[in-house]
Amino acid sequence: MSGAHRGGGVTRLWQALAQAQDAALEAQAQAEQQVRETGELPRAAAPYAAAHEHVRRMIMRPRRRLGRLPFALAMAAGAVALVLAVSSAVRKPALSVQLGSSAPRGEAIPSLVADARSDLPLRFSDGSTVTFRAGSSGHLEKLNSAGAELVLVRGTLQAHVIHAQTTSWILHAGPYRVRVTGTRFGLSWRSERLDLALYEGSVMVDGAVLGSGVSVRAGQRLTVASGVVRIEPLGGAPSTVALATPAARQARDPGPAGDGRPVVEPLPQASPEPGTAAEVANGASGAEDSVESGAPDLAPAPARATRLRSTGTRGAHGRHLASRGGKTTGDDEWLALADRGAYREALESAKRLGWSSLCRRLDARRLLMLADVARYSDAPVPAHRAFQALVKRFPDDRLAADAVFSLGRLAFERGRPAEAARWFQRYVSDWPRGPLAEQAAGRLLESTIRLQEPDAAHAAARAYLARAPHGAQAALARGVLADAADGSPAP
Amino acid sequence: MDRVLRLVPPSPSPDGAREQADDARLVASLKAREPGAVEALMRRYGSHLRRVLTRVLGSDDTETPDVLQEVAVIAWQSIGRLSDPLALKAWLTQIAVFTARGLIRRRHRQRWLSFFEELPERSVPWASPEMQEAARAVYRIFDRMPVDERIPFALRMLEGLELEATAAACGMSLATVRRRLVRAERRFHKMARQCDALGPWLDEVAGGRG
Repeated sequence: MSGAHRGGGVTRLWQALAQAQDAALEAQAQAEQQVRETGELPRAAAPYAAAHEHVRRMIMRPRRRLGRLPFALAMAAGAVALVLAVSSAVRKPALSVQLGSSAPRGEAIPSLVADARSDLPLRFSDGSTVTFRAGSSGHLEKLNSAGAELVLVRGTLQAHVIHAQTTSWILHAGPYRVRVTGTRFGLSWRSERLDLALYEGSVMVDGAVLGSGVSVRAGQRLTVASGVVRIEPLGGAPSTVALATPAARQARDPGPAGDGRPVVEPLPQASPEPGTAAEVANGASGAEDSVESGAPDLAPAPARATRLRSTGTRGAHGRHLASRGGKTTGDDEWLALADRGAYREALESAKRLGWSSLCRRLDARRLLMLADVARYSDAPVPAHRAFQALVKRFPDDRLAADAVFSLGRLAFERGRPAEAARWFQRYVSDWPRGPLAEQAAGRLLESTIRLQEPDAAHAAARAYLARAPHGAQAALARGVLADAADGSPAP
Repeated sequence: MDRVLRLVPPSPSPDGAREQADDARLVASLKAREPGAVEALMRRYGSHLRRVLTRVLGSDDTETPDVLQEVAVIAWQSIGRLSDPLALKAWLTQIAVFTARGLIRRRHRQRWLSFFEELPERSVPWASPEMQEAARAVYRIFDRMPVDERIPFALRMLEGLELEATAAACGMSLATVRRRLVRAERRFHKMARQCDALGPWLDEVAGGRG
């Protein structure tokens, strides 16, 4: 919608808010698409189906109308309705929580530390339970009528959130946030590693490298470690593809943190083919970063195996790719391969169609997919071309922001800090409130440090601290400024 | 939804003829009570309706799915009153607006009855912290505005509806909607000036960057 006639002086506010709402709606639609693909239709995630079901029920059981009742009965019903309306209008009280066997309380709990050898159970008045496993710690930030907000500082917790119409629970673990409306899961945050095992329902997890968030559904495990995001079947075959794919190698690089968009690795195949990432990993790193080997015990006490569901073999990124846009016949093959997570094959297939031609004709979304296919295949040159085509052809598309950031990241990874700094500077200038702006500012700082340009590094450090005084690169920025004050060279 | 309100025909598009034919088929199938008709309706217009509701109620409003559901139910029940199938989208928009208005009014009554000022906080999931803060502030102000000012204001400013479309969606005359928008804007600015989270946005205007 055009914002040209949005008067009132705060045009930018309206535009930015509308864009943010659109992005949230899109994320929600994608999450629902995932849910629909798996055949699960929870009410909150699939209002279309819910609406349809409601209509169906209404048709089957038509409501009685008040007008058909005798007058006296109608009056009595009216009085009862009034009482009910008044009582239901009184706000639902905030939840209370019972810590172990203590008396229920209705306020935040600043410190929750489970004993080294025993669990610390929290029982909420709506029936939800959160158990901090032995040796874990955290705090209860907020309690309200819809739910609670908890922070897992370290260790593991198990949660069983009871779904109600307005359930809203949030769990923080490090830089990540798990948004819950009713589900059962285990969450672990240890040594900068996030591990979420979902037994029932679905949740959205966002923050840090997850950027705008990924949806995790029942029977899946999400892990984020060293910048690598993985979603895999819960209790599936041991995952040994970790840190073997190009994306994983990028994450292993001691360079800056992720770009805000999840790098979701393909799920492990049953029998790895020669030369594939899985085969390489089997021979190389073993189970060094395997979720199964390193994961804390997230299993709920009873009947875990019976609750597992088949989740197919496609990664979340694959689903994401598949859900975008229509397809033309020529693009079917590389899109399908990308959908399966076979990025190298997708790259070869796309190349056969002519990379230049694809860069000229694809729309913004597919260009981004194409670039990602190349990036995940460790092919920076074609990735660069695709990203650049996106920026050049669709400079006003919001995906151009992603492409500009990715170009900066590619340049940084290819040892071209000057070029990287230009791209990150462009992102910060053109999309100062973009979802990756903070990370772009951080990477700009790193690029200028690598360039050994003290003035530029100081400027970048100041700009970063002004934007994110508690951000991931705040310590680095302060270090740069402190060095400047001491008269020593930038790191 | 007993009143017959003015309806604005859908705006023309390159695929206008096909869309009109699709709408006509959809309306016919709804009137014929064909199985799957509501599902088809929501598949076609669900995202539009959800966007309208998001503008009016805010992102992350836990009752949006319920309102959407209610819209589907009303559409199913009242489809017989829609005489012009080409006005389907505008008609649905109007239902969504009226249903959201009912919800807002109910919340206002609840707030009054429960002596609580607190209303659900509506941020924008996945947006930057500044944007989330601004979104919460905007909807806090919206919650304090009269509903018949708030809704046209949200549709005009956030959804970017033209005046005529705003008036049609809200079931108001052009003159009324114009008057309410002026009042709403004045009211919004007055409250926004007292809100820290919106300060930077207002400052930008003052600095000539807006």
